[in-house]
Amino acid sequence: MIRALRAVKWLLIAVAVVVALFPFYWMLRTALAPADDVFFDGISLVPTSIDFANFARAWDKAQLGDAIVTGVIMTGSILVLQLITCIPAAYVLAKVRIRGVGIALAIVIGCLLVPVQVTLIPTFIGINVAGLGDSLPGLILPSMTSAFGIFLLRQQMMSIPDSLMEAARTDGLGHVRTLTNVVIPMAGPGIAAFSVFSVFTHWNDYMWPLLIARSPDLATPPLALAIFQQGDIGFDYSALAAGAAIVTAPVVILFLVAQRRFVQGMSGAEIPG
Amino acid sequence: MPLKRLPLAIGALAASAALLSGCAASAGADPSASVATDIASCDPAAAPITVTFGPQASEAMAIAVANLEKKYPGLVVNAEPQSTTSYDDLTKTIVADIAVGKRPDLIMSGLGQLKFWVDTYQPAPIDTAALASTYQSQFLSAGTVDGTVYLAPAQISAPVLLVNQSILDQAGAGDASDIHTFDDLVAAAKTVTEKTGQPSVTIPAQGLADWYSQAFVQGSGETFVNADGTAGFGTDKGIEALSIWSTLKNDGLEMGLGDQDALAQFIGGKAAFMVYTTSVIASVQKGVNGAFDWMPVDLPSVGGEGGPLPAGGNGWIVLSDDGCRAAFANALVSELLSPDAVSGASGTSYSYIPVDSSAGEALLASSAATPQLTYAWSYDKPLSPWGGFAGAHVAEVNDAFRQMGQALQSGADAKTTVDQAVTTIDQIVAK
Repeated sequence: MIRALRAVKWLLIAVAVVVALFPFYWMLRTALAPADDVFFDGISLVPTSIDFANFARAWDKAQLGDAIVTGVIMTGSILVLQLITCIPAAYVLAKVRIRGVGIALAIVIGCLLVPVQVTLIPTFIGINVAGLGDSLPGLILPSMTSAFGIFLLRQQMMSIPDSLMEAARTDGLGHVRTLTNVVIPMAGPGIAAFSVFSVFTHWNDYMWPLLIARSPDLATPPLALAIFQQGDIGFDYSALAAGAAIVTAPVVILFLVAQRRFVQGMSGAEIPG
Repeated sequence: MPLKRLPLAIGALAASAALLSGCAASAGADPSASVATDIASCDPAAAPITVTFGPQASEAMAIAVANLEKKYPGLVVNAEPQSTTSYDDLTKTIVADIAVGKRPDLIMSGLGQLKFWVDTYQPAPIDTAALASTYQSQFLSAGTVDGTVYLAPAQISAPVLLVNQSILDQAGAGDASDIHTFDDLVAAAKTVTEKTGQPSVTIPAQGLADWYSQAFVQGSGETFVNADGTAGFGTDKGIEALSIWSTLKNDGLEMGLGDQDALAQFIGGKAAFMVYTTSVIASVQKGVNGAFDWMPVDLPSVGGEGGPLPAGGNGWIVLSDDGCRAAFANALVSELLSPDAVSGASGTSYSYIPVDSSAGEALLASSAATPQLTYAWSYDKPLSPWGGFAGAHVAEVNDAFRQMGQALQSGADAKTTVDQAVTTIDQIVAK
């Protein structure tokens, strides 16, 4: 009976893995197949032949090299700024007993409820009034902090035992050194999880770069790929799949590297006391 | 820093970040464009113009800007293509620019958004007298609202029926060119489906439901939008035209697909009939790659009537809020629609309908002119503007058409569904 249940469990997991990975596999299959193999009679899991021309076309036509560099600078800068703003804010909300912390936490949670689209146009106007339209800072600065990041890290830091904080205080550590020497190392999984989330979100963001990045040399990967999605003449699926495979690779590698900590952080693993 | 002040400093940092993220004042803008002044009285060096357009017009723009700058030394044309080829996304970026006081002088617009621009931003009229004599002026009707040409059609298309002749031959369902009415289409589709056992027609009811609806209604000789702005398609004949969706579904002939899936199924040889746009003919030809015989034919209608179909694609709108810049923007439109630029915009890799007759003749004389591309390149029937409902409500009206199309595509009763759509749309435009 137990063996049968275990078999069913593994079967379900296998089905889930296939369902989750099949679109990714199909993207690679489409990217590697010759362009006229995209629409074929019947389903074939393997392309009739391997052709890397789609990758070359995607790279050249969408100028993916420049887009990836812009994307790396943008997502990297946003991540650094978010960590600089979110970690101290989360620390204050989790571990500093001062008046108003509860209200501040309520505001942070309230911000989580506001859809991004609501703040899009006011932010766009603000950034342009500040003279940062069509610039890299304009792409980065509106995302310099994250209510989700503050909340996630605060929850992670809440599980750090107060006795550790008292011990740090007894040893003469102030807030800054307590944060850097005690809290940050212990909140590592949460920070890693948020980092992966942040990179995923901003690497794949389409709407904000569409509004703010007008110069072709500021195009981010999703914007660059949009050139293959011209509805009124039909999509270039081969180039689109090849381009998507190229721009997905960095985030897949990042996820694989940070996988363990990401899962720990997202599952809210307790920090041992 | 004393420890007690640290939380305050951190709080201030977080607050300033939050302010930068979300809070800002809105900038107002006069929605009206300026009427172009006499270009001879304008100093080109003092009237730099900005153009916002999609990459599909890059080639034509390069030709046009070079010609214009040669004609008006000192004139600066800021014309960088946007990243997006989507007309909806292009509109979003232009509206956002106008909100911060960066109103472009000339914009590319999808033809479906013409009423939005006319009603919301009052563009300057197009100087049609300045267009080349070879420009096919019958297409200007697609950019005309209340008798004034506000949009100069550039890369245009029309609804079309694509037919897989090989499937028809195998099923003994006749010839594509014999299909003129919806009854002809249904009869041929029944013959194919009896042979294959599978639904054989796809009329996608997602992205372009409003466009196809207008084509079915107008193609059958009925009014789509009444003069007072209300829905005109609720007549018996209008309902009959729109009932093609439900008839096909209830007869087991409609495949029930979205836009891109429909295209994939036709190219893959699974769909015998597909209603789409002439602008995809080049892509279909490339995808089919000679695997089967196929042909574009005129969209069928009720009783084979031949009313003007709505134009798709894009065109140019002058939005300048300055007389001289409006004049130079209009001059740029003339260059964009010159034979050379039209050849660039409607080149042999595309199947846009050439808006310039000499460019069309050159395309038809080229070795690329297959029978399928010839259909698009020689299309010369009058076209109507896309839509026509109040510009401020375009998105809501299109949603109503999408719902109607999808209900009909799933076999809902045509009269009830169309009546409901008419009521909904009339309520929307009455707001």
